[in-house]
Amino acid sequence: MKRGTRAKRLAAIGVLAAMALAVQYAENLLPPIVPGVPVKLGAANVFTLTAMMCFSIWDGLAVSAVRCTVGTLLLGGSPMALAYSAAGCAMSWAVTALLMKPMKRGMVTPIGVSVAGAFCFNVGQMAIGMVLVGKQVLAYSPLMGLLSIPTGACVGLAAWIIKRRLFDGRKNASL
Amino acid sequence: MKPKALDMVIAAAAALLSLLCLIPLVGRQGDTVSVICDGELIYSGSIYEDITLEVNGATVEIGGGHAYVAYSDCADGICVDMGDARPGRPVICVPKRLVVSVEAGDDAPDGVTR
Repeated sequence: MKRGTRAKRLAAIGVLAAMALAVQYAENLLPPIVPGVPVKLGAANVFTLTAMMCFSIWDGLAVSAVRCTVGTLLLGGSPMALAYSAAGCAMSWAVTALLMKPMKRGMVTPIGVSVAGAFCFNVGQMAIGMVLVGKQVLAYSPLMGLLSIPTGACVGLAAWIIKRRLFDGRKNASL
Repeated sequence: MKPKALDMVIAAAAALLSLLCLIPLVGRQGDTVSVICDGELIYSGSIYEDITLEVNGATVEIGGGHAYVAYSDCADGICVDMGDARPGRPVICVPKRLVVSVEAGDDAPDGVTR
């Protein structure tokens, strides 16, 4: 697909945002992998990352913002849930945006970018958690930080596959 | 897609920072339970003293060396699934801003409020 016309771009970003919402909703229906550990795969980030890799960081921000606000409303969340979501998305987006140029120059792969984004998502949530609940939330930062590495890697790989298969044209269909 | 040096650096940094946060948590001991809601200390007492607390729609059971959230009407119920609070591993209910933590007696505040 050529990234060309503005209408095409808008349509693509819209679809990516819609898919992010659908995946976020579906993921929320799943039970946690380990009971008592509030960690999710974060699959909706695949589409944010795809938007940032295939279009621009601002398009990625649009997808991220839609997923954060509408997604929280969809899941019946409170303003507090919105705060957590926004903090995570903001931190994650900022770090991913910074790593886009190095990625395009070949200094880092999408997997590394995604791991950094996933880790910083947790950093943002920990920060809000400390403000809203107290410093006791830091007790969970080792576990969540370590789990962000494999989940971030999976998300990065998925986004890369989507980019290569859908957006880079048929001649580039191989990974 | 071949891994680049910066990928390794990112993964190593994430792992290292996570493990660094473990340091203040390891080897903690304690038998004083603190129940904090909205940043305010609701209760502080021995983990062996039997008491049931109703805090903001959640039921906290303490006694016989255990401290846990028996029931909560929050949306996700993660706090109930967390089980026993242990030193360095508090039970936290995010929607209710509730923390049940077990610490050593020296850290606990002097006053007890209910």
